[in-house]
Amino acid sequence: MVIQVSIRKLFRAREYSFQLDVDFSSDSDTITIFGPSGAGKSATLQCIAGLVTPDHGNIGVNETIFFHSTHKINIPPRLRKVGYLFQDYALFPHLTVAENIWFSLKCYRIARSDRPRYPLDEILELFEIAHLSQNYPHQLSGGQKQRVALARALIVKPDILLLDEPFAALDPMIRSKMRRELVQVRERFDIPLIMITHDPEDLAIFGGSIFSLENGSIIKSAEA
Amino acid sequence: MSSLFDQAWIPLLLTLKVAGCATLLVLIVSIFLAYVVTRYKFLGRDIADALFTLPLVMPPTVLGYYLLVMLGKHGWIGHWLHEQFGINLIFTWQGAVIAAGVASFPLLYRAARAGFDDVDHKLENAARVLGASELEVFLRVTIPLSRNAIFAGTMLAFARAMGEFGATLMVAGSLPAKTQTLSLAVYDAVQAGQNNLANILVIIASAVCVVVIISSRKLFAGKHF
Repeated sequence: MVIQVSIRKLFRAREYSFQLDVDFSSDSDTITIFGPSGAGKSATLQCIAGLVTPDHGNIGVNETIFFHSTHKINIPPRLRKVGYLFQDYALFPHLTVAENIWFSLKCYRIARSDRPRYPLDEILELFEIAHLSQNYPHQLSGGQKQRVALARALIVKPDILLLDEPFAALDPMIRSKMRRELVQVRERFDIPLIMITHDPEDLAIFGGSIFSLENGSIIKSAEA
Repeated sequence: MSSLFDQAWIPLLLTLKVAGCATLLVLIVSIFLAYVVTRYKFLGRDIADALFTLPLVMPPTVLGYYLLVMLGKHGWIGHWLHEQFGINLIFTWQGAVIAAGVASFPLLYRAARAGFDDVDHKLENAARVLGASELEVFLRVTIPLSRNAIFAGTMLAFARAMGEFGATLMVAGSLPAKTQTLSLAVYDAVQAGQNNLANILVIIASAVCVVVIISSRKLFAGKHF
């Protein structure tokens, strides 16, 4: 994956304002953005996904320009082919595990496109959640929810996977287990990923580039 | 001479017809408007929101007067309807539907707005990244998750439509079998000293309300997200 991000956005709410000013680029397949809470990590990830539109700048992933303020390009999130894992997984509470996972496949554009996809049973097997397919999210443990969220994001084979503090919502006891599982997912699906985290223990999981974000800007970068 | 039963049955059927049509109309319009107001930031949005809430606080006869002015032969809407389609709404059950609808609209609109606002934005964002268009996000995520609020609003709107009196009287009058709904029939019966009739009408109206409340609880028992 080749990614280039150069964005500026002012967030304003009442008397509080926050300036996001992020520049980084990498050709690594795993990128970790590390920083304290409030540094702007989620905002950056949401800009890459298209959920938030920067005021200025550009975002390019591989050969596609997701966003370019001068050229007036802004691809909507549903067309960016990115997978997104939310911090608390954002599983649809009114749908079963199976319905959550095949949500994408029922979207009009995707159903009619030739996008490659995994058959439902195969992905259920891969994540070892076939026995949970008729359950609802509130009946699942944290680790199970993460697997369902990953299956849901990966079923239509996105080009990159964005992970928003993937282990923060988990019990510390199972974090190392889930870290190992994520490494396995990365290898088995061979998917580039961008992970944001405030936990230094997450830095050692993957190799690749590490960027430190503080107060809205990148202050340091390293190759692990 | 029609029996007491007939005299009560006819207003009941008419009321159910008027309130039913009004609620259905209001359901569609309020979901659409609540969607527009919650999704788009446009100039005058707050004014629109206040306007949509206005019938809730306006005295029904005042509301009825405004409707009479707009829907009557010389009003903007009434004139156009008469010229283009030969339609007249005053003193008709359709006019009663509009009066009941306008009066009950704010109840469903506000319930729908609150329901939509309560839906976790992360879930809607998750749907967007997964490939849903804005309409799909609305139909597959927002609406199912605000079902309870919409249903509660619908019950309130129906009850309000059933009980509408002031605006209905102004716009549709109280013509027996045509526009004399239950509330108007009770009033007329009491005014005419027909206490037996009034009693039956009141019992019927109360029974309908109880049935609506019990069936709404049964339909939605335990389905909370």
